[in-house]
Parts: sequence; structure tokens; C-alpha cells
Amino acid sequence: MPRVEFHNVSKSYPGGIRAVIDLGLTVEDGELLCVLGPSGCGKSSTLRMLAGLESITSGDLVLDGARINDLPAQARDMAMVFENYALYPHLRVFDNIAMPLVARRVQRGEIQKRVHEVAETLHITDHLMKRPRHLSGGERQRVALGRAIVRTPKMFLMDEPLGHLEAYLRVELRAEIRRLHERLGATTFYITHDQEEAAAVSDRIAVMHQGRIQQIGSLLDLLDRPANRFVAEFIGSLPINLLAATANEGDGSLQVGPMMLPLSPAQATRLRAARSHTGLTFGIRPEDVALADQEHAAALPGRVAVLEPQGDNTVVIADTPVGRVSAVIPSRSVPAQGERIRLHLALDHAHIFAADGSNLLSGVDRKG
Amino acid sequence: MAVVESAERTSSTAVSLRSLAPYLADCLVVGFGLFPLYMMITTSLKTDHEAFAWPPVWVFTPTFHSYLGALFGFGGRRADHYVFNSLLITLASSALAVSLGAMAAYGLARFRFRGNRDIAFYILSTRFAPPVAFIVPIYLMVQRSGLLDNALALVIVYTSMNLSLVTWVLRGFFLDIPIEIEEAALIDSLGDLFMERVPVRLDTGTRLCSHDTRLSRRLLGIDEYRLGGVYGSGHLGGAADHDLHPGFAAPSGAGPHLRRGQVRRCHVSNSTM
Ligand SMILES: Nc1ncnc2c1ncn2[C@@H]1O[C@H](COP(=O)(O)OP(=O)(O)O)[C@@H](O)[C@H]1O
Ligand SMILES: [Mg+2]
Repeated sequence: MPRVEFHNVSKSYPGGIRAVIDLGLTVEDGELLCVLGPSGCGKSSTLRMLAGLESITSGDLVLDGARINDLPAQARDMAMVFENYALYPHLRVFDNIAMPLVARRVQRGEIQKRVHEVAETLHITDHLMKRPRHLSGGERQRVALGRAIVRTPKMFLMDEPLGHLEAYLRVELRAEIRRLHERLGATTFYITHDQEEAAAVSDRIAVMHQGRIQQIGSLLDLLDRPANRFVAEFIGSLPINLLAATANEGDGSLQVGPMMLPLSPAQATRLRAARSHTGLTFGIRPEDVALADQEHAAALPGRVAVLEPQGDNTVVIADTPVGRVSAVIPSRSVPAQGERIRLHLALDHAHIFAADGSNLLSGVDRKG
Repeated sequence: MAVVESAERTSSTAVSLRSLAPYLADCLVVGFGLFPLYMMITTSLKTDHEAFAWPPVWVFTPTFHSYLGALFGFGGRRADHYVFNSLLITLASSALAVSLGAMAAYGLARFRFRGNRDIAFYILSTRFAPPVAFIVPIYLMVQRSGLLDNALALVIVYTSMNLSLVTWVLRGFFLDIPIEIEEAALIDSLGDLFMERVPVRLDTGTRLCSHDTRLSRRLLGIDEYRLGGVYGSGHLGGAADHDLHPGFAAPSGAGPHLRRGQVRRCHVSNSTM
């Protein structure tokens, strides 16, 4: 039952860089957990501690109930896929895939059989006798995947395995990885900075920022109930609208610039419970902003500044009294540039962030 | 009709002349580059007298007496003796320098420690002074340790002189090998079976690299033949039988007044510098 727990794991590099801070995280048996975060947030450091390639500064790393902080990498029985493939350049594809079996003194006939099975699964049978430098990036990463799945390790570790590939190959291979995961059901720790990729391959996504896990959940959780301002800004295909706001003590409404936004009773209660009423940020996704069709109480007047056609929909960026606000509008009913419009904000999907970044309206349980 | 044709013909010759110009220029450059080679080959086929004549003799009857002399009668010694010494010394010092240098280079390329870059640069900086500058001090050291006329002296000197360059070059090769490949090997438990071989064996490129360095090492070794003259036959009086010097390098270093049988004297003069 491979199950990995990080208990308050921290990593500091010489020079005082704190790459991972008090990490608490569990990868369940058979789960593909994706760590998603911007470059430099500590994803690789986390994975490398798990792999045994990097020492753990403090905290406990527990695999199947046993503390493995000091277990050397070769004894952890994990298989890793690297961003730059890390194939053995002097070996043919066949030997690259066979190497982990050779190291375990598997019989030659068995090696032949397993390598060919794996090659079949990954559609690289034609390349078995080639050397890595004669393969394309996508083929190389297939070989690297093959080298990982040829044996049955406790866990798979993948550090941005699709990072070096072209867009169409990424889409193709991430589907392949998901398919493999569903077939093998192996516990997998997967790293990426691409949210679409994370959503496509993973069971759960852990968002990481500045060495800390910010939130764990499905992509939908992260979109609809961001735990904090960072998650709200990082997740989503379009940048979220963020506007400075203050809470009105009396009626529990929200003051955004010259506008007063009526909040639902539940939202008002949450807001009132918040300690600080100033320095708030009001956030709403462009998808939750629409054209107001009639004189609407909460409609926001504005003038169209920029149009970004995206096919069926167009992103309309308007200058309003509270600042620039973007909205996703069906392309059929898009206003002209410079036109005066009124925007309707779907307030039940809005977020209010405290000065420290936490989401005052979201009751999503924050693990980690 | 005829007038028109001839006019066309002249204009086309002018055009082809202009298009030929770059080729003529190329020929000049190539000729300039190949001339020394031509001189070396023709000189080897001349008699001593013709070889050192001034102005140079362009027309002569080729003779192989230099080749015969070098192979069978050179300085009263057969050349294979010198070739064997050279081979032995170069191979031994190459093997030593590459194996020691590889370990140092691996450490410098892979491990982070204080002063890493400074040490690497210091190692390279030992090559900044021309080796000739050390001839006298090293001669004294060799003399005191009683290694004059001993192949070991040359092996030690060549190794120490080239170790720095080998280390520097190999460090570059190790830096070129992605660390992930070693990590992959570690995780795949290739450990003892594979780990040490990974960085050295990596690909033909890297394999070439060690050849490469060994090759340049050998060239360097041969280039310093003068040292052979100093520490080998620097032994002034006698012991001619134990003479040790990379024989084939001697004539060119000996200067134009060399005659067969005078090799020993040229070494004496070398050793006094
Ligand atoms: N070997 C190292 N030595 C010093 N600092 C490092 C080392 N590896 C990573 N870091 C630093 O730790 C932080 C996190 O790095 P990393 O885990 O690689 O992030 P990510 O994989 O999310 O891009 C970065 O600031 C990086 O510069
Ligand atoms: Mg990384």
C-alpha cells in the first residue's frame, strides 16, 4: 500500500534559500497527485526530497508508515521521469528501458518480454534499436516513461515531464499518461506549472507558492473556491478581476470605489466576522461578468476599451469608475469599441480577499 | 552575323574571368596553407646539403637517405628505441594524467563547495607560464632525486605539467553531462553496477572526449621533447647506452647545423640552457 505523507517537511539550501516550508501533504495509494505552481515555488525540491536526491532539512517523510528521511534513493523503489528525459545517451532505446531490470538481475528472457510489452504500450516498438539522439522529443519522453513503467515501483515521480515538448505533443502525451495511470493505478507524484495539464492528468491538484501548499482540490474547486488571492490569480485561463474594496460596517455591503455592492446575507455574515474591514480586495472572474440588459441596480457603467476575440466568446475590457474590468461576452452580442455599456457582476461567484490574501467568503477546507 | 558572335564571345570571357576571381583567391590561400607541408616533404627527400642550401633548391633528385638513417642508423641507434621510449612515456603519463584529472574534474564539476571555481581556475592557471620556465628547477629536482636518465622522471614531469589541462578539459565535459542522467541511474538502482561508468562512458561524444584529451596530451607530451633532452640525456658525461629522448623530435630541435651522429651534442647544449 504505497502511501506517502509529508509531515512538516522543510527544505533549506545553503545560502539560506527556504525552498519548501512546513509542507504537510499526503499522496494516497493509487492516486495521481499533481503539484501545480509557478517556477521556483519549490515543486522540484519537494519531489527530489521524495526521490531521495535531496536531503530533508526538517520534518518527516513517511512511506507506508515508515520514516524514510534517510533511506538512500536506490532503496526507495521509485521510478522517475525527468523534464529533460535523462536517457542514457550511449545505450539503445531497448537497453535504456531494460536498464532498471538489468540492475535488478531480472532474467534475460523476462527482460525481452517486458521491454517489448512496454514498447508496444507506448508505440515505440519501431525505435527499440535506435539511440536516443535519433529520436524526437516526444519519442524520447515515451522512452523515459517506458523506463519508468517497465518495472513495478512503489511510486512514479514525474518532474514536468512534458515541459520540453511542443503544445500538440503535450496534449497527446498527457492523455497517454492519464491512460497509463488508470491502467496501472500506481501512486504518482506529478509536477507541472500548467493548470490544463494538471487538470488533465491528476486526481487532485495541490497548488504551491513560495514553498507552501496553498490549496488542494480539483481544478473546479480551485476555480470556484480559491483559498486565497494567489490561487485566484494563478488558476483560471483569464486573469481574475481584482478591485480594492472596503466593507460597510452597517449594512454589510461592500464598497468598491464609488460603487456599493449588495452582498447576500451569508456573504455579509462572513464579512462581518472578518477582523479587518479595510484593505480588502474584491475579486470576480471575467466569466462571471456579463452585459446587463436593463437598468440593473448593481450594474456597473463603463466604456469598452479593448476587445480580444477568442472565437465563440470575446473578452471585453472596459474602463469603469472602479478601474478596468474584463468580461467574457458571446461574440454575437459584443459591443463596439468605445461604446458605453453596463456590466452585471454575478456577485454570488465573487470573492473577497483580506489584506493577508485569505479568501473571506470561501469556506473550503484548507489542507496543508 | 559573325561580328555579333565575336562580340558576345568577348563579353562572356570577361564575365567568366570575374566569376573565376574568387576561385583564384581561394587557390592562393590554399597554396599558402599547403606550402609548409610541401617544404617539409621535399626537405625530407633532399640531401643534407640541399636541405640547408640558400636560396632553397627547387629542383633536386629525391633521396630516401634521411628515412633510412632515421629508421636504421640514426645517431648510432635505431629509431625504434626512441619511438618505444616515447610511446612508453607518453602512454604512461597520459594514463596517469587522465585518470587523476578525471577524478579531480568530476569533483569540480559535480560538487558544490566553497572556492570551487577558484580552485578550478587555479588549476588552469598553472598552465599560464611556459613549461620551459621550469626546466632548471625541475632539472635540479630530478637530479637530486637521482632520476636522471630514467623514464620515470619524464612520466612524472609530463603528468604534472598536463594534469591541469586535462582536469580543465574534462571538467567541461562533465559539466556538459546533465546531472539528471546520473540521478536517473541512481534511482534506477544502477548504483555500483553503473554509476561510476555513467559519466565516463556516456556517449560517443564523451568517449571521444577522453580520446581527444589523450590525443592532445600526447601531442603536448611530444611537444615538450626538449625536456626529454634535458632530463634524459642531460647526464653530461657518458652513459650513452641509457640515453632517453623522444628520438624523432630531436632533429628539428637540433637546428640546421645538425649532422647525423651529432644528436648527442645537441642534447648537451640543450641541457645547459
Ligand atoms: N541545489 C540548489 N541550491 C540552492 N538553491 C536551490 C537549489 N535547487 C533549487 N534551489 C532554489 O530553491 C527554490 C525552489 O526551487 P525548485 O524546487 O527547483 O522550484 P520549482 O521546481 O518549483 O521551479 C528556488 O528559489 C531555487 O532557486
Ligand atoms: Mg522544477
